[in-house]
Amino acid sequence: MTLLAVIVVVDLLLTFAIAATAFRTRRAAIRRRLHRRRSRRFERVPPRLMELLRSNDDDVLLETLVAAGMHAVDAAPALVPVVEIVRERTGRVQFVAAWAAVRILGESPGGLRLLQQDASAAVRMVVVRAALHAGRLDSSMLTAVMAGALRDPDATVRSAAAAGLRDLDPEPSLYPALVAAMEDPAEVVRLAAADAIGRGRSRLDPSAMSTLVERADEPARQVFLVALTRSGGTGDAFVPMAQNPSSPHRLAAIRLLGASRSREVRAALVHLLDESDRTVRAESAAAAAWIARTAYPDPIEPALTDRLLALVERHSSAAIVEPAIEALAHSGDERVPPALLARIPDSPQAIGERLVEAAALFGHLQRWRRAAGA
Amino acid sequence: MTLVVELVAALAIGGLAVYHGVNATMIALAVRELGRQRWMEPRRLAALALQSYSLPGVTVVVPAYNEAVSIVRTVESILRTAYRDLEIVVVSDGSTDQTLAVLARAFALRPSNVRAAGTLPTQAVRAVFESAADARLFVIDKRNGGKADALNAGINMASKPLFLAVDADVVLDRFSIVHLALPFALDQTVVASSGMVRPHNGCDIRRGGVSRVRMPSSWTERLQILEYIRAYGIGRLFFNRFNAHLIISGAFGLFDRALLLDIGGYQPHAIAEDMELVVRIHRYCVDRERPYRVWFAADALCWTEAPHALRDLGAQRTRWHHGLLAVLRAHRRMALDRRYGAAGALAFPIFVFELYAPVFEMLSWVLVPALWAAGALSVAWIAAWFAAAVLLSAGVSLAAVFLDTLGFGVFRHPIDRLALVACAVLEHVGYRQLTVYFRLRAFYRDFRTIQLKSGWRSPARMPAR
Repeated sequence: MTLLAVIVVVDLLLTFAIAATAFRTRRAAIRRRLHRRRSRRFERVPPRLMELLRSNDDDVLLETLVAAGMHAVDAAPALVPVVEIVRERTGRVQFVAAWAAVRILGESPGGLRLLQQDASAAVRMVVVRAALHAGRLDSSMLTAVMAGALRDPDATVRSAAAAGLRDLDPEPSLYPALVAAMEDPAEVVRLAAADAIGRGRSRLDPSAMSTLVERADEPARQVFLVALTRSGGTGDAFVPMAQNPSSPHRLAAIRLLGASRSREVRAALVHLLDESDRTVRAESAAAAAWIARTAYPDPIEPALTDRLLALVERHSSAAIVEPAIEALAHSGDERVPPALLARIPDSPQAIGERLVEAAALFGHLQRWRRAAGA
Repeated sequence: MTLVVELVAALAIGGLAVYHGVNATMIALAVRELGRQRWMEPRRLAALALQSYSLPGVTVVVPAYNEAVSIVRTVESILRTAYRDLEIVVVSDGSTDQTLAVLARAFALRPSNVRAAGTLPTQAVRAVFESAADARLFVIDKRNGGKADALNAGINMASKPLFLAVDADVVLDRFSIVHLALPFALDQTVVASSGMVRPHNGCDIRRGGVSRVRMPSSWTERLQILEYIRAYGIGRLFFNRFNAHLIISGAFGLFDRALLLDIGGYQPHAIAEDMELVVRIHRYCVDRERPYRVWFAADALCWTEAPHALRDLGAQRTRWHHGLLAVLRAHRRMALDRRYGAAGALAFPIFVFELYAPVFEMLSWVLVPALWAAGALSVAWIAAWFAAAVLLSAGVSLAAVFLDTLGFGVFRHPIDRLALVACAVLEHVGYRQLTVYFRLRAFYRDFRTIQLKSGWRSPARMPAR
């Protein structure tokens, strides 16, 4: 018992001793020292800053890097040693050095183009971040840096560039690089590029956009269409191409009709749902579902609802019926639930389940519409 | 006869002494690990990380089954976290209550054209909604398939490189996701990270955040807070030193989404899907000789709701222990296998010991006093038992409380701190025995092969205050 009591006491003392040591680190003292220096401003003591950046002590280095980043305006001379640290170190030191470098480059972006050729991917990443977040960069410089970054050999640099461009409005001169990025081996780059093109206010011409939709993989195509719909859609530019049976881009054009809010497009879809080609009918139903979701809380046109109901009545192919059911669930037309439920006895089980769920979804959406006062 | 009795008593007392001794050693190493992690003051580091633009995008997935009471508070809490590139996906797993309706009302849901890009097999998705109030929020309505299935649907839907799984009753600290994602930016080999989970029972929650931290009035809830402090303050910090985490709490765990897709996501119908996933990550990475690290970020804080009722507590503990048993059995080949490093050689045996600890505890709490009362054991034996079962255990708990107070200082009120100290002693009067019973029940359940439905009988939630 005595032995065990001793163990408990020793355990407690040990915990206290280690805790006290762990929390009374040198960092507080280093911070105080730096604070005194910082108050004299860096521009007056650049040699001291350079000296501290050569320190072998990680704690000193970290605090110096933080100070350099905080006073980025005055710390321009420190860019070279800071970039050197980004290039050579790893872990937390590299992380803080990259932060400081982004801030210094943001204040004095003159070195961006030069550093973009650097052999280190970490340094090139710093360039991309600084370009995207620097307030003092003109658009031609930004375009040049981003076009270079989209062709970078490192996938993380390319994806950072493409993702960053989503939040800006890319210049039309960047579109060729973005379109090329949609065939990038890294999925994250493809998706970011698709999003950036879709969101951009400048539009590709209909033929280029159709080609892009055809060549993109399904996730990138989806991201592109969602971004396109959110940024205002395509108008009725694709109606002639969608109605032309000999157009090589017809299916892509029908798919792009979904991203439109134009009444002409809906009228065109009414006719396309009657086409003899099953693929055209399936794509048209998918476009109608897309439009019905986008139009919420407004209902879709009764003529389109009629055609979709007829499609569900006539067909049993899941490729056609499922998107049609999906469109009807969002249609906001009160005739839909009884019509869907009436189809259940004649439908295969999987379609029957979808019909029940669509009727339930219709009910949810109607309640939400009423609650929102629509 | 005396020899047999003394052997049994020695086994029970010795087992307990070793168990608590291991915990005491873990505490000492946990303190050093916390010192190592604190290379910068947490708030300052979070601010720096946010300005670095280097944190990867995160998709937060909230699986929800009949969580109408707490889901809005949880989503509000996630939306108010400070993180630049964030997406939130709530997965309503065939909820039959008002979960979908309250979400629609609170966040102005509308149908979405966004569809899942992942390919993990799940139950059918009925509809996807997006919020008109906040473009970062999506809600999936799918057929019921269990928590793991809902999480897999969330993985499919996620568009960011990192996947954060949180429970539907959590409240996140403002900088929690920053601290959780930071290890991924610091070390390219990090594949998963978890943070500190604390019960928010007794705390004031306003506008999606914990505004005042206090201890609850119920002793059952206070004792659970002590258990959380012990588990996270000691266990997780200790295992972090050795890259030996075998568990990341389902309430708050961040993963590399690409890796989750590679390993097939969560295992449907697993009892402890969170632990099973982490163990599988170890095996996958080791088998493919891929460098990897599973991290615990002590400053990433997530508040969860501990069960209020004993019945819910019992169900939870039995499920946890049953899950532990199932995972250790399924992955028993990892045990002492040198290829798995500390995860196989250190963590696995410790978890096996944890699994059988209730047996020793039961022997010690029931058998030793009974034998003493029957006159089969001397007073010296009782003294040794008391030292091992109460003094040593209380010492470990007190050390964990001190570590928590010094390192995190979450409970600032002196009364709360005193209550925690009192819990370290009082848990031996009834509560410990009760949890031993709950954990032993897991063996019985396993023996009878009664599969508990994983996690979806959600305990009674308290409405937001």
